[in-house]
Amino acid sequence: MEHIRTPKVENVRMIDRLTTRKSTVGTLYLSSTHTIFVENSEARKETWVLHSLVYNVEKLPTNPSGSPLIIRCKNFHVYRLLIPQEKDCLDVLASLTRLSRPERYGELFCFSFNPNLDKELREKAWGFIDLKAEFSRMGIPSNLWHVTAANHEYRLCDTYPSELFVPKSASPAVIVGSAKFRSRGRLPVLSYFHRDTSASICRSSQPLSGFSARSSDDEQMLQAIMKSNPVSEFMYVVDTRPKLNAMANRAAGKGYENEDHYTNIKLQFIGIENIHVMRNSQQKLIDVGELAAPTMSDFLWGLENSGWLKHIKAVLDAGVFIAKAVAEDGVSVLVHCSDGWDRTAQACSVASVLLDPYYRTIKGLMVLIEKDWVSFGHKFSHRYAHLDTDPKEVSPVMDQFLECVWQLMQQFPCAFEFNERFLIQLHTHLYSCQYGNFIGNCQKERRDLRLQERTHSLWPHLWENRAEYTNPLYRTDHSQTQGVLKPLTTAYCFKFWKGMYGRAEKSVASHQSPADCLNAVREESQQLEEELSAHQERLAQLKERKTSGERKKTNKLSERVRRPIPTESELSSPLDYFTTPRSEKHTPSFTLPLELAAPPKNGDPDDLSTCSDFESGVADLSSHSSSAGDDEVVKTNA
Amino acid sequence: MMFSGKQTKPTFKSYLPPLQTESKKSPQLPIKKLEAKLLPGEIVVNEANFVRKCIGAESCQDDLWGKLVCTNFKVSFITHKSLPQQRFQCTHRLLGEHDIPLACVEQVVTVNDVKGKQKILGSNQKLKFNPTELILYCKDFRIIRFRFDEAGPESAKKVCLAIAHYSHPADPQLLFGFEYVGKRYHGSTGERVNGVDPGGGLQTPLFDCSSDWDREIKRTGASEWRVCTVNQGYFISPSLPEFFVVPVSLADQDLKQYACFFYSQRIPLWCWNHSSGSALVRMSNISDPQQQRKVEQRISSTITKSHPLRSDVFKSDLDKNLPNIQDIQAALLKLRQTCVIDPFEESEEKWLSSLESSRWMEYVRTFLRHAVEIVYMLESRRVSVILLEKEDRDLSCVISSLVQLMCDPHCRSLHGFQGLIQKEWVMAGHRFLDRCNHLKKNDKEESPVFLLFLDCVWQLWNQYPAAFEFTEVYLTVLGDSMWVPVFSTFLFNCPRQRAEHSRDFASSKSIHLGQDQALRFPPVWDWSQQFSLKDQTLFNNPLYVGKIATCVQNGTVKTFTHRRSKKNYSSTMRGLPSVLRNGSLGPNDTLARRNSLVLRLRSDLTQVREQQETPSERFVREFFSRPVDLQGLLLPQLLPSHISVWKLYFLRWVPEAQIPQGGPITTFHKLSVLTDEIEMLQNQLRQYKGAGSTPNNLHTEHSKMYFKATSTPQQSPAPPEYLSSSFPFSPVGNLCRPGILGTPLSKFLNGAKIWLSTETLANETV
Repeated sequence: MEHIRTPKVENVRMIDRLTTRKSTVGTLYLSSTHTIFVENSEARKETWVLHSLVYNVEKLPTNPSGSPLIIRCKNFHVYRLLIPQEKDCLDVLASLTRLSRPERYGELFCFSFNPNLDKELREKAWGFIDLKAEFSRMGIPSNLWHVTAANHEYRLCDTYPSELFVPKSASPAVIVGSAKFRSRGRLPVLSYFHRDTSASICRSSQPLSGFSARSSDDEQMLQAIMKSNPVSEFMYVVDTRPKLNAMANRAAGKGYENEDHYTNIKLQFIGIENIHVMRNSQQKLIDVGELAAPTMSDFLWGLENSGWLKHIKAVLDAGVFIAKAVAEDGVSVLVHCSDGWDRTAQACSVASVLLDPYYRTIKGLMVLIEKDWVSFGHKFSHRYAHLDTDPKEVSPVMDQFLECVWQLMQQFPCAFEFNERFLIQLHTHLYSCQYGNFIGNCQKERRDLRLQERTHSLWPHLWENRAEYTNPLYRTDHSQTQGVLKPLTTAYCFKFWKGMYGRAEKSVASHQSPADCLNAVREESQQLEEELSAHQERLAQLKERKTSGERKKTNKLSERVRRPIPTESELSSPLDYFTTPRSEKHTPSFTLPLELAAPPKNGDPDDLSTCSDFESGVADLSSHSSSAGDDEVVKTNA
Repeated sequence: MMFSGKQTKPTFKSYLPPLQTESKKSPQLPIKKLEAKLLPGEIVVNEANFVRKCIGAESCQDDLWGKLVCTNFKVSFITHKSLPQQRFQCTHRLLGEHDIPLACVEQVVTVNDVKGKQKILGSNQKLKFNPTELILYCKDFRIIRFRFDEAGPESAKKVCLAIAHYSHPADPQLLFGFEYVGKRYHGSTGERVNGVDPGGGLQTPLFDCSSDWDREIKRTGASEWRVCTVNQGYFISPSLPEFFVVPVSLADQDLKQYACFFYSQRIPLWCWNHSSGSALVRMSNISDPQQQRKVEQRISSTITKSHPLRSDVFKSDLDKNLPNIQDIQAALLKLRQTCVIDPFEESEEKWLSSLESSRWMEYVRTFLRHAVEIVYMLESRRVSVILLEKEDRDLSCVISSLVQLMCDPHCRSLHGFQGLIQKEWVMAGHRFLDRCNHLKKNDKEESPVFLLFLDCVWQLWNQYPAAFEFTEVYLTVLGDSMWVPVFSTFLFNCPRQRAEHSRDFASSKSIHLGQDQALRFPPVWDWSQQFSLKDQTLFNNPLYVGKIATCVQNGTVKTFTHRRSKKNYSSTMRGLPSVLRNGSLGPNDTLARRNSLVLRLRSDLTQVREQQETPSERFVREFFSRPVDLQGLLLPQLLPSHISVWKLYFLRWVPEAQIPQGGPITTFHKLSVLTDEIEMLQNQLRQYKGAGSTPNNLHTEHSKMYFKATSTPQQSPAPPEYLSSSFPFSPVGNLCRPGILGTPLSKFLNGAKIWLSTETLANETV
């Protein structure tokens, strides 16, 4: 609280994003975790902005009507405020600037966030995703792959998990030797094993090959990986960087594998650009999404000039190449970039989504993120600027992975168990620091921070609310959900992700997707089935005849239809969406002068999705503001 | 026939056996059986044997051998071998798998790749070289290529010249529809005695009789409007229909008096009434500027008198606010260049900017936006609107149709939509003959106004998929039907032209027309002309069908249920806001040239201060802040990110855009199966209620869905293998880009960046 200079400013105007000519008057509150705007109107509509989601705050020159303040968020929301007094504006600016840039991990929201779970439940929640179980799902350990203790206590590589899966044939000496020959000790280890072909996806960092250096241990390591796929005669080494970048690294004593030194490898460059290029590209894309009244030309040119979709294509291309090698050619692949924690994570996880239908389920995607991103040391806190650190470390690496999945969903609308909301929710939590999952830069750091004792896990929370993240078009017996996805990666197939970058439209009733309509159809079919079975039962009673055949059929029908998700219009309040009971035990530390809000006029599902965290998000605030369901209330903690 | 001409000179080449590559083996097919399937009135003009149709992009391995036939209706390729990939296709009742109607041929290009020559052929031309290949550029974006390596050089040349000649008919009566329909009269006379109207029992009103208009007046509650018959026999205006609707206060005598002031004597036409009583009227320019004010005032006052609130009239000048027909044509040509002509590698690199530079999507958005402004006037301001266009035959058609689609749920049903096109396009005299350029006489008149309209409808459909009874396949097929020249819908510039040509043709062929005004051309709405009932189910939107089923069950079908807004409006308009006084709704930013992104961003930031929202902005914002009623008003989202490329239409032939087992069609499949399941359950219910009076197998015959549920619904049927994002079309053999073939032709065509017009190239000699 010491950073808050003004806890409350009255007569602030919030300017509508879509039409800059419309604004609403209200009161602005600053709490230790949120900025809250409460409309003066009858509805007392609230807008909540989590400090950790604030990307920057900008004050524009004061004009006669007041001092404009623009709050830009990491999830691409933008809030435009007009504060009557310049002094207040400067105070808010200074407070928010400081609050949105925590300097120590201890200041992060996750350490104060308390959803009132007891200790036992919290521990159980952290065990929700079990990577050992995931490897055994793949059939690992097997007669060819096993777990090595070489990285116990992070002796070999401090950014890797302590448990690593390697070929059985690789001796401890080879493992240690290989780690020494790899940048930051990130040696080649197993990421995904494809049961059908016995081909594997392994990952590492770049070798310290320079212009001529070689390591027989590393060469043996790759040989061992190749041999672990008995039928294959060679393996691919996929360097996800542009070749020029890889070559430049040789001058620094790094680089890529020399095909003459390694037996039976084929080197393939993919050309995903580095984090700095991606950061700049995304900024251009955000600018396009922020345009107030764009013409078709502004939009299309802006989109092309950002280069963003080309970068997404590059990541997807890498995944397609790997998936094809593994599934169609049955060839194992070693993937690396420079450090093996950004592009490598992207390429491996995209390939996994293409290869394995499990990763297209809600639980499966969580597992995949836990495996390829969290455990293998993707630098979450650096990339997503959790702390006030080097801006050059920030880059939308995971954003791109999520977008790749979204683009795939556009091509294969029935292949994924989850919907767009799930991806957006994941994206928000990447930045929100509300849960401990994405805090820190590697497993060791998370252990040292004792995150499992001090914070909560996101996964069980999402799992409990999975009903709202389910794609009604998904069906497990559908052919798209089986086997390998073969997407197209031509320019025609990439779309601007409206739901993510076009947040300006959030205040607007969203597109009606066929999936939304399906929910209504589903409900109708359930009604009919119920009616049918009622009739059948009556018939059976009347005739006292055995109609077991038909009844059996009806039962099966009813099994198939899951609980219908109510359509927007039928919901009396968006809170109906949420299955989690709201906790009654909050101790308000900050009370807002609010009355119960009126029911929402508009149920924008995207907004509603963010409300799922309502009860938890305001745990340290007043909870009797049930206006959470109001259409423009933005639970940015979500 | 083909060798009946002079003997081919023995050349050095002809002594050699034909080149036998593996792919080219077995041209020795039982040729005798290769006969073109002909329709009534269709005759073979010329043909060539041993022709190869190119299928694959890079190799000729999959190419098909067969006979190329030119008839007075189509270019037909007859082959025994089926295509390499087993694939799905709708069977077209008028056209075979490899057939192209001559009306669909945009450009006939002959090439001799040995001599390095090419020529674009027009009608009645000579060809100084023997073609080795023929490339047909089609209006529906296909590019079909035939090789004559093994064909007789003379017969190859002749068939090319025949195709060129017959695709440039000198007179409308040479369009195949006349022979086709004429044959019916010479056939069994029983058909006529049946008294079947040209629609063949269609539910779609054609608006060619006063009763259709009467019904429309009743349906929309336009009690102050009447059907007038002054133009019977087309004595007043040549381009107006015989029946149309005018204000009650305008007497026939007045109409006759005022007609002469308007361009082409087009008396202003009533289109539609809003439930508030506001009318939508279309009007052509007043030719005499001195009379303009007086006539305008008189017309406006009669429209005001027909308004229950006596509201003012708002005039919207379409020519000032919208791109003209040449702009639209240029946009489509550029879009086609990007989608199918440019080598894929090039167009992919700059896909978005090419899309932008075509301006097609910008125009789509402009038309939608303008329609929204008109809707605002009718819906919120409750004033009647006059759409003003010089001739009132192009842009007005688009805007008036779009306004009705947005306001009137009846227009979103299949028959409502077809009636809308009949009313606002066919009867209002959209020059389909000229705009389609069926006669290839005047390229300046050619313009895809109707296709632009279909794209606008697609955008609405894409944003509200459950609000329309039809699918995007329907819209695509409707667009394609323009190039099948047998339908009354797309053959003529106006009803009068149809009547005149019918009379001429009938007298020349001694056909007795009897009571009929015109030959009984089938309207395109008689879909069984083209497709089987099963294939027509592809038009049924599963998201909509479910609703209809429940509606019908209750005994009534809801049509026009416009919900009145709860807001209170003052019943009198106290003058129009300043922006409206000059007849336009402020600057139209979509037509402004591209701005610098940086500049625009900066200006955005400075806008962070209070400004007054315009009423029309508020109208749109309030619409989007309410839950959408699919049976009520629908406004499109106009942000550029919501305007999409109509991929099924523009990219269906592009192999690089075809997603196997993917695309929106998989959603369609899934929804169809579900809807079919519901229908099945409903049938079962009825059986229990009606004690099993109807047999169970009725279901499969009457199902409205193309994809059906299995009888054991615990296992949903997997989507068929042939499903792809191009379904029900396929790129195979339909897009031979000049570039990817690696022939010398690419050299020629790469030079010409824009698809040169036939007119320009027709005179070009080799």
